[in-house]
Amino acid sequence: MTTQTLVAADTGTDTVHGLLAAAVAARPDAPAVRDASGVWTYAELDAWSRAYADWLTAQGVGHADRILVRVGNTREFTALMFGALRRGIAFVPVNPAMKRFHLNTVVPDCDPKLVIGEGSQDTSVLRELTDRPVFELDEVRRGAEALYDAAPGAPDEATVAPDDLGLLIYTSGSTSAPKAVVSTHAPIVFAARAIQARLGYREDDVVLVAVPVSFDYGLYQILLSVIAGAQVLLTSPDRHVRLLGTLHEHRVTVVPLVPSLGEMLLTLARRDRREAPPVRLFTNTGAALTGPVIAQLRAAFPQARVSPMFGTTECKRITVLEPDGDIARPGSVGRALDGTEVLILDDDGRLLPAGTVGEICVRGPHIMTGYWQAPEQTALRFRPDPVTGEITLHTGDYGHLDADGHLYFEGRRDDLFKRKGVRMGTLEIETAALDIEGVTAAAALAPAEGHDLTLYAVTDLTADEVLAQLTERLEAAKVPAACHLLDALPLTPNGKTDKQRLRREQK
Amino acid sequence: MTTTDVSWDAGFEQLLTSVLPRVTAPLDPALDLKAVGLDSMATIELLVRLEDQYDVEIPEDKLTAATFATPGALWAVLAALRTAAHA
Repeated sequence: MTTQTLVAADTGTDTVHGLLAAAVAARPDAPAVRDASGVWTYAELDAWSRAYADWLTAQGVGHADRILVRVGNTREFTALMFGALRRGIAFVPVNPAMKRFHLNTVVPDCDPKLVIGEGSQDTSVLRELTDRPVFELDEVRRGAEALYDAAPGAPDEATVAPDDLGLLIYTSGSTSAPKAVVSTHAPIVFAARAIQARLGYREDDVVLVAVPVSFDYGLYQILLSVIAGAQVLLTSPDRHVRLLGTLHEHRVTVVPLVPSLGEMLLTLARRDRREAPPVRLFTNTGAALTGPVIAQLRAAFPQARVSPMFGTTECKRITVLEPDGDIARPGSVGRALDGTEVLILDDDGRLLPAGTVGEICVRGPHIMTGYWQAPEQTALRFRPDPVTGEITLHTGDYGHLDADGHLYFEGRRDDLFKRKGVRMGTLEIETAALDIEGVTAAAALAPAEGHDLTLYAVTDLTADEVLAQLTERLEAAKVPAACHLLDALPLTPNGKTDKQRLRREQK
Repeated sequence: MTTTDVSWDAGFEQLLTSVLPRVTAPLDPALDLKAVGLDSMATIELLVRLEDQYDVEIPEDKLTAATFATPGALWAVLAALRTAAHA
């Protein structure tokens, strides 16, 4: 089964900073990006990105060099990103919550010319991992301030080509060390435009970015907003407790969600006595919102529509379900982006019919170049057609398409297994557990290494009660051998259930 | 951990130890709550349960990192609200 939507390729600028230049030309005085300390218009964002670019140039960082930036959701992040990109410098965002264990791999792997950290504690850790200059964000800000009013240096845009490296985005493989997806300007711009074509952000939108900007879901919010001429509102975890106030105060209209954020928003909405804030669109990716959470969001935010999406950093976004498409197709994550293709293949690479579960594979101009300095892993996932040379991305995710080309995600390969002769996936077991009243979160671990199928649940019920209620919902083979109760599921910095950690604790 | 003469009641301590499993009573009023697991999700749970238990509403301008920084800071905000409510 294959689904394909063809449109004429968007023409015009195809560099990431070209998107900003277009917004600056169209709406120089419109608010572009706001954080806890203030707001910049598009003209100011442009001027600041130039100041940060000049600062980077003054440090001797140039075309094709890489900078590692480990800062949170602040305006400086956006100026640094556009500043680096407009000089052809590759931007490597890293979550401030990334643990030393992973930094040990990431810092030497991307071999940055220069590193920027958030505070003194952060920079002292980074200094232990590299001989390259490490700066605190405050120092960099002072440097850029000194250059802000100075005459701009040489024009920069002309020197950057669409196939120049733009971003290195580290993803934690489910079993391996973090590896970086090599993103050049052209596929980034294609993906951002194609997502925007489906979601339709507007110039009067205020887009809340509470997910980390180091996560591609957060980072692309900046690009989508710039394409639309909308306003980005950046907020950080220590301000989540006042999320509702933020929505009211800034008249937020678009909220990208991961499940943990959705739950926080619902809890806060229940204690808020004001009229519902004017949110018109919730999007979701990373980890799926459950049906009950989507229903509660609709009840608490009556003006809001919901758009589930599915993606992987290797091509950014795979599918987007049009707003409220889940009402007709619950559980679907939508159709392929316009101009791209989703194929469901069996283990031998043969096309499978609609309704049959297989590996989710993707073709199109949004496929990134591969993994940074990892040719074997790149060859495994990014497979060229022997005749045409066209790349098919093998995601390692499994799912099926319906007859109209809507994708339904079933799980990673590791999450699909056979037990007592029955084929099943952890997702259906988690879905059944969440259907039990009083279970607020659940994660199932497939049988492995001497452990049978195990469920972790967040609930006030007892483990036996959970298993008894699961027996009413699932055939016997699918009922876990054990249920463990937790106060909360461990989450990765990007808000996905940290199954690796559950697995380690199981041992 | 040290104990100081503080005016909070047993229910306050019970609630904090239930939201933060790594913490045991008696609580140090200056304990760095973030360092013992009070992330954004736990902060919101704590907020809702405190408001429920003490029948108060913590106003928007007190929903800050400073309010939830330590047991002492949190109790001070709560105590002021309760005094205002009973005045």
